[in-house]
Amino acid sequence: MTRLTKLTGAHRDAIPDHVNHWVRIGQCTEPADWDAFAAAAAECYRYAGVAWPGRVVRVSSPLVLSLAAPIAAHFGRRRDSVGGAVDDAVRVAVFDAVGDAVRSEVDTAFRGEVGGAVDREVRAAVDGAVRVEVFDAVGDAVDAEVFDAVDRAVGTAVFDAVDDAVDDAVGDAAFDAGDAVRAEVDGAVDAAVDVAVDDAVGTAVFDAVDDAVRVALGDAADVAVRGAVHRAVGGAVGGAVDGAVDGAVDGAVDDAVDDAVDDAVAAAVGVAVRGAVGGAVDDAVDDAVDAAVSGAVDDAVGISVRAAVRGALGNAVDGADLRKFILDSSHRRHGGQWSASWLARTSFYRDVCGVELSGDLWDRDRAYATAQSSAGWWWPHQQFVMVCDRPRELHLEQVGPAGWGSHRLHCPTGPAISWRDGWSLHYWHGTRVPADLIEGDGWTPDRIMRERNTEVRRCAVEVHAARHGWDQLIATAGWPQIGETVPDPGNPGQTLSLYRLDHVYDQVVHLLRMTNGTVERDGSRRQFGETVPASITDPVAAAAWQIGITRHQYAQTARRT
Amino acid sequence: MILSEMPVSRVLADLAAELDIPIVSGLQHQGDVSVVPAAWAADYRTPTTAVPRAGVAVVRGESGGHTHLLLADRGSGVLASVREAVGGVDDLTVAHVLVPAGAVAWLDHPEHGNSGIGAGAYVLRRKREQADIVLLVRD
Repeated sequence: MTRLTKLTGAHRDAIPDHVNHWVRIGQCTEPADWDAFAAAAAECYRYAGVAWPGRVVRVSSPLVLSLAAPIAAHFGRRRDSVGGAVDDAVRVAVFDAVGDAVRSEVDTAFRGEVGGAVDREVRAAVDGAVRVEVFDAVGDAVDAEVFDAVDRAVGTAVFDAVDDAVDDAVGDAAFDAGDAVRAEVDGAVDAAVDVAVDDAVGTAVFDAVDDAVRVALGDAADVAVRGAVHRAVGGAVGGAVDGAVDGAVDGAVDDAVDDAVDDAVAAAVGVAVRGAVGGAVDDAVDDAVDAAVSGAVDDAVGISVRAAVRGALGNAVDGADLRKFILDSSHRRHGGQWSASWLARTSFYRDVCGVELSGDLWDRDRAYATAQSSAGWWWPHQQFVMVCDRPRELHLEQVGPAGWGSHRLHCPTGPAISWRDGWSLHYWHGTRVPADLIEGDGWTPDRIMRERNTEVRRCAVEVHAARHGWDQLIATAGWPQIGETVPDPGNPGQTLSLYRLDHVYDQVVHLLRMTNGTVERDGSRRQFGETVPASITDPVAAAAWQIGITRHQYAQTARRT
Repeated sequence: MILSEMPVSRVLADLAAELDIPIVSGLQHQGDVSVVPAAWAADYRTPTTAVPRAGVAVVRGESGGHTHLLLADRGSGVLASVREAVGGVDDLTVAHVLVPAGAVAWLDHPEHGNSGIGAGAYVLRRKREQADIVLLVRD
């Protein structure tokens, strides 16, 4: 295996196109490519050595996925005899709570329509995921563990023994034929043992453990135990897919690419590729969505589920457990299109640099990258795969050079990001704000000044000023003027004035009111305000500070357009 | 002569004459970009790169904003180095520009129109605001 020890000029030249390719994937708002996702996800399961569940549940938004996937995993098991009644009681309680969560999350203006839609989506997704029973979760977990142990034991005792015997017998006499013979014997022994163990474990162990758990713990406690086991199973499956596919490739890439190179080219690859894509996609969008979802789940499900479940079952099973499970489940979901930066890094080595990896690792990487880039978040589970659509619209602004932090969510006229079920998030220059601050007429100055969250209040002030100018805000807020209104030496015929802005930013700042140098088409001049340090009390000095020159120099302005 | 085959500066100079765009060697402002004489700017560094025929964006228009484009004729000897201002208290400069005697550089903006920059050395600066952190103004 050849190690990559330096980047060539051609490698570097390819970076911009490579970055653009992955940024486009990360920012894509087309409907998910469901078929491509399913095919690639099935490949991932195969590489991970986990049986493909064959059930791909499509959901409409991250909110739906974040509620439905853990709930389905929590309750996704046989409901006929074991704990059926308890399950149903909890399911009803949880679904009611989910409805509350969705309703509180979805803005008042859209509550009826969108809230109901999302609520129904969650229910449908859970039902879709758990409709067909395969194995009970308790059984599966123990099953897998026992299977592994038995398999190892049988492998050592039977397979290796037979293998050695065959080798010994054939060995020297017919070396060339050895491989062929060994393959045949291996196949026969392996298959035979495998089937036998599978049958034995599948019936005896599964049933025994299941009965034992039920007898020992009773139905109510069973639910809690199952939750714990499910966590283990879910973690194992998610981890297996992730570890075997993504992790293995990542590790192999790290092995194949010289440490020194990775350090040396960090600026070119780490920053230019991952950073550029990440800034444009991952940290701008994924973090925002993540925070919104977590907040929604935490706020609403936490309180209401706990109360509902307690009411139904008493203290034996606490809704807090489910809430924690839902919140703790986020590591199990895969980032989909918003993992573009990681995919950009590995595929840069794969496609641009031609780094060689052993075996089928690059095939694994391609399968994983295809699954990730075909849709939004997805959640691999033993019994189902839940996958989220891409957003319907996405608005970002670039606030820095390509790299980490280059983009943030922003839309002054509507949602910065929304999904086809209507779930949407509003952002003003990277700060999440209530929908009604952006939609329609926005907030009145009175409403703005009553806002207790300082970040939101600052955004509201900026939104209002951008739409209506500063006069109304200044009048309503009662911000005191600092000094006199003076002629603007940098803008003949116009004036400058300063106001003290209280309760907008963490620190007191002054607002410089000025007039645009360019006359609008209707003949008016746009009034606008910008903030300056509170230490500046002279309007002309404030205008000079904005471009880093002195008051005297600013007064020598020759022209403004 | 077809317009597109003419030197950029001549096209602009003709247009400038028609539109009465003054050529200024002192401090001037085009929206949120100011042309500041280098004598007032401690951070001025002599640029080494000729302005390409297509011009060079000193501030790119993003999310609805407009691009401030610096233009000069290829043979004019106008030099410019463009950099990203990150908006720190002392980091406002987006370009260093050197206009030799007899030459003109043009700063073009769809909303604010054109500005002629006469002979001299300059830094082009963005405006800053004081919020909880210092921010760059975008128009």
